Amino acid sequence: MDITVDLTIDAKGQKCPMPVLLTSRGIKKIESGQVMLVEATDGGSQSDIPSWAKDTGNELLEATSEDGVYRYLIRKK
Amino acid sequence: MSGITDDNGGVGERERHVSETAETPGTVEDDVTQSMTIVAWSGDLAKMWPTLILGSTGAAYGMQTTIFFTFWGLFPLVRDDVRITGTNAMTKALAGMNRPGMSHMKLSKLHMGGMGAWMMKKLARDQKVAHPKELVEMCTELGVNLWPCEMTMELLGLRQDQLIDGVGTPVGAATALSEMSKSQINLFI
Repeated sequence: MDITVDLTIDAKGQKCPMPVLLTSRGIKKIESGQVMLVEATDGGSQSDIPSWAKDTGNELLEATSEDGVYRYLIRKK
Repeated sequence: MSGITDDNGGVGERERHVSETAETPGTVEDDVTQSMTIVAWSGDLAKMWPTLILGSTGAAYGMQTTIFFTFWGLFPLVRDDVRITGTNAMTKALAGMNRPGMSHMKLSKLHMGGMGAWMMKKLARDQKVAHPKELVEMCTELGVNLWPCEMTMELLGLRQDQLIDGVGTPVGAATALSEMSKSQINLFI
């Protein structure tokens, strides 16, 4: 899967609820159909970001983790 | 940057999330705006902190979010640099005994002359948990309605220009209740 990332949000090191707040702020900066990458280290983001995406109708394309960093690819609805 | 390289540890997680989102597109109710109202009646750090966390997160979730600040809950909305508020000896003494401002909130339990609150803030800073001041800024940025209680403003002799930026015009209990009657989530913290 080859996806162009239009905006990257660095929420690494930040605790709940900042990753979701920064994600929400970020989604307002991109257009419908564009893709945002969110990087976080907060374990709570594993449940918060997917549930945020579901509730706001934005599409979570990928959720991966590597070396303690969680990466979420979200396409704006 | 294009694409994200797979790592073995994340594949299962990713597939689970993808299937979750794929199965439930119909549950997103575009027509219904979810709404949350929080009544913030306490100016204690222990209560204002979660209030601001839930309030900002509600807005991040796309909910119409309102926080109604009343009684002691109004003091933290006073600008940090405003030392004494009030119009007479008693309201001024009240502000003097209970310093207003987001940076001067006390803990309701184990405040210990400021040690308790200081320790909590230090822990939070070390762990990178957002400070109430940062959270209230996020609230205004994400469009949370911050409504001060009109009656409390008058009771304490507070003026709008003594409150932080982003605070709405003062409203009464009826306005707050009207908003609560439309909200799916109502909290009294």
